[in-house]
Amino acid sequence: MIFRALFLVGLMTLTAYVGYKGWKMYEFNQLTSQERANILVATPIEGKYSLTDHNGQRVTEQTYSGRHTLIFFGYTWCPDVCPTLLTDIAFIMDELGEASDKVVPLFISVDPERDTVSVLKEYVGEFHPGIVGLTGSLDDVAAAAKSFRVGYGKVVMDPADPEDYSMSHSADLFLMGPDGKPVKQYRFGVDAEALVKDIQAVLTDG
Amino acid sequence: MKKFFMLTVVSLTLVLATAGTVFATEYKVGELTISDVWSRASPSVAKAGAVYMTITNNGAMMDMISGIKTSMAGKAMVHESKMVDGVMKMEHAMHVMIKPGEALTMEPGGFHVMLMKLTGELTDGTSFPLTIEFKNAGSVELTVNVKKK
Ligand SMILES: [Cu+2]
Repeated sequence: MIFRALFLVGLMTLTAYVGYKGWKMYEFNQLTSQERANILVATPIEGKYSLTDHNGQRVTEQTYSGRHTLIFFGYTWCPDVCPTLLTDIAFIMDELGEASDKVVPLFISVDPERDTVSVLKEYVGEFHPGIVGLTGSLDDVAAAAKSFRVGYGKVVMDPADPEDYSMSHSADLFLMGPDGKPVKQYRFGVDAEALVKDIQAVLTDG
Repeated sequence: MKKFFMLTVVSLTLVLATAGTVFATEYKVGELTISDVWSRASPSVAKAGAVYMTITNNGAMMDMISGIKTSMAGKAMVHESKMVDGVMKMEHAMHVMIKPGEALTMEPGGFHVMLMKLTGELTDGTSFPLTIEFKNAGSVELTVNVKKK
């Protein structure tokens, strides 16, 4: 009797669980209009850079030719937006599985004064081993940002503590093709699962 | 019968797991309810962090966050990440109101409790205390769960 009751409870739970998963799948296929609006065909940017990677090697967009790159600008003292995007990128890389070999995520620092090569390496590595952190001189970073039409700037929140400044920066995610040309641009706020889907589609289309 | 039993065990485990995520801890202070309190796990080199939560005002009076303290940070205050001309900016939100019958949702890319001068590491699966004080409702100690997402 007790078994029967337990079994019934179990069955009900299982049904609820399957229903819940099904609903999640449905939701995943239904992008919100906001999300649709946030997935853009890339704006005509040049997307060139000459920076130092987190292993101390000089790199340019040609270094990664033959692979897609997934690029965004941020800084390691960033509490909210950057860790959110980096977590999403780690999720995307995991979800892409084998196809992630064709994608190099690049995190370009807009705060090279604090983001040294070694800090960057430790920082991005803890999100995902595939993510590469790029930094450089103030001029290197400014040139890269300009080439992506990315705005950024230093913001001192507390005048009594100018060292603890924050950086404002574009939170767009750029998907560049194997030829280094822009393919897609994602505004902040697109769900990570939607990003996976969209990037998968790009990778399959060639 | 044994098969049914196994199925039951598996299902009950699922119930408990689901219940754990659905009925997460809620805090009540005065007419306010606070739920979904979490902080994103960050690399050990991270210098700053963010805490998110939802504060619902069930009362008839406006309330306001008047102070935040935590042993995890030298400084903690409410910030808002805002998109201005395509650039994400953080602003110090000085007077954060929780209107009667409404909820203030702090989530990634918006309002957050900014943790500056971290005193410890935001390691996945750990938790730390945070005291939030409201002008009317008074103060309450929350347990912040650190997780990846
Ligand atoms: Cu902040």
